[in-house]
Amino acid sequence: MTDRPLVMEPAKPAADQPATPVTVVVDDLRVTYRILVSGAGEKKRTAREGSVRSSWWQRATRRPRARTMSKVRALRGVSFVAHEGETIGVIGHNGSGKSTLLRAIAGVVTPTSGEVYAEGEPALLGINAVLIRDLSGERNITLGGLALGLSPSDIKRRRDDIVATAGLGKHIDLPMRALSSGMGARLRFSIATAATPRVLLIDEALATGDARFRQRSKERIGEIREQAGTVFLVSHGLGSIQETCSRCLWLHRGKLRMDGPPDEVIAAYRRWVNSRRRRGSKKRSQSAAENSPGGAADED
Amino acid sequence: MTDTMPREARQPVDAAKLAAAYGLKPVGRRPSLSLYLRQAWRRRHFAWSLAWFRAFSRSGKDRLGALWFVLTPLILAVVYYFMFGVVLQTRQGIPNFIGYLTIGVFLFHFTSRSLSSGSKSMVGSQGLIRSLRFPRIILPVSKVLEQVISLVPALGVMFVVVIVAPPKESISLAWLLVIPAVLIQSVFNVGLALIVARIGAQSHDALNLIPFFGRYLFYTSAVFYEADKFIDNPTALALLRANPVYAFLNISREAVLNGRAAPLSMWMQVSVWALALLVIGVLVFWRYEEHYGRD
Repeated sequence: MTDRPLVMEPAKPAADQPATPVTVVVDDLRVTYRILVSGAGEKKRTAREGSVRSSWWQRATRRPRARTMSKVRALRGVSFVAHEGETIGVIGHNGSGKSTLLRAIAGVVTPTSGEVYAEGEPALLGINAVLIRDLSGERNITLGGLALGLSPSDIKRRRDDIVATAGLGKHIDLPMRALSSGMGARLRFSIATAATPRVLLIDEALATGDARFRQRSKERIGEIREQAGTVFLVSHGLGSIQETCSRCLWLHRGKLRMDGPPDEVIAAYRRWVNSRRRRGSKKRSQSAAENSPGGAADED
Repeated sequence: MTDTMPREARQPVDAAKLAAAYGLKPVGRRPSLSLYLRQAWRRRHFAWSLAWFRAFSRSGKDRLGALWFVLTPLILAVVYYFMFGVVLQTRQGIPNFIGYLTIGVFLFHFTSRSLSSGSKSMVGSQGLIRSLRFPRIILPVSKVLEQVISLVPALGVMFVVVIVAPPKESISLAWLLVIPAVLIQSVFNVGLALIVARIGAQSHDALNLIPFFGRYLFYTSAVFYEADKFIDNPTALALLRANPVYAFLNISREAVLNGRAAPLSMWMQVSVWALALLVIGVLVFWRYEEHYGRD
């Protein structure tokens, strides 16, 4: 990683435009998951052994051999640079590595090779991010804030603001498990953005929640952007990306396929999806083969 | 890949240099040990709140609530009293068997709970690990703090049992020695929890073996029998002496039942154990920091 000229950066901006500081550098990021698969090769063995009955002993001892390490290459060399004030949408079909990319930027997943550099502690907001289900929203706010490195007095000061963003009202005293998934998402969002992170990573969170919450979270994203932060947004809702984002990344099978203004990238993505659909209806079998394992790893 | 087009004219730049120029830090990498410990210290309120909330949320679901902090070891003590004391007659040679057993069970419970909950601390906190970035060492440490919180009322009950149950012991100043003894034991438990937390996170198979280690500690700690029974069995005696948990029980028993301080060598033994385990635990846990919650 020392002197490899792999990262591309926009050329020097025009003289009248000040250079925008960099907040995230992703350098040839590769993430490989190793998964223990039991029952792999089961078909092959059955075919080989045919209908020959095996004894209980053979069956008992055979098992471990059927468990193999399977490698899933979720990201296969992604490089880009993000700047202050950018809202970056990340699109791609299921298993293209979107969630893994966000988790790697958040530091929750360690790169297999390559490196991610970021300013401050990026905050990840995933749909599955459950804090402690048996605790009330109130206590989850305290815990989440403390975990993010806020001091107890900070939390006391911001508590009302967080509760207001979550919009839970009197439900704030209920345990998380008693809340609806939309309510839970709202609470998590308000906790994750409480510390005003410089880099905020949102994974499909805007899809949940009602219109009022969508409006509120959009405002919060706007605030973070105003404070010169960078927001990443993974979503299948192309419309919301077009609306909120200033830049768009298209991931395809763990590689960056396109990087540019949302209008252009989304248009290209739509063309590609449509062409695939047309092809798919003609040769369904071929497209099914294309879809199977490969780099597919939808970790959510 | 016909539609891959650069947004602007681009030129290659060295990533590390670019990151350094803007003061960006590598993400998700294990920090140096001193930075790691400083980060953890900054999150100390997190560890406490987590322990406190969890201690009371777990009991919040039971009707009897926090009473279980006390009931669990108490019931254990009653069961052992009948099984070992009455049926198997291990109480022979122990003047105050009830006191001896109660102190043994309550303090052993403290370490064994730290061991088992510490070993599952990483596996059981996937939600937190996957959503928030913080030094993972907080998790096993807060598990031990949770045990410390529940030990405080349990110690109160332990003293009541010693005062009330025949032969009634009289309160003495020496009882205060239990405080430093329990503090050293807490440090010991943290070290132990850190080591097994990593083992449990690294291998699910090893996680299944940890209860057996707990059993071994139990049988070699003289919880329900008198150690002098084995005065002519050098192997058994060596196993007992090698077990620091036995020394912890002994120190508190000396203070409460005999009203005197245990020999200095025994205090030294447990202090060395606690410190060594803490240092090893921190190192072992920190070295695996990048991999927790990754599967």
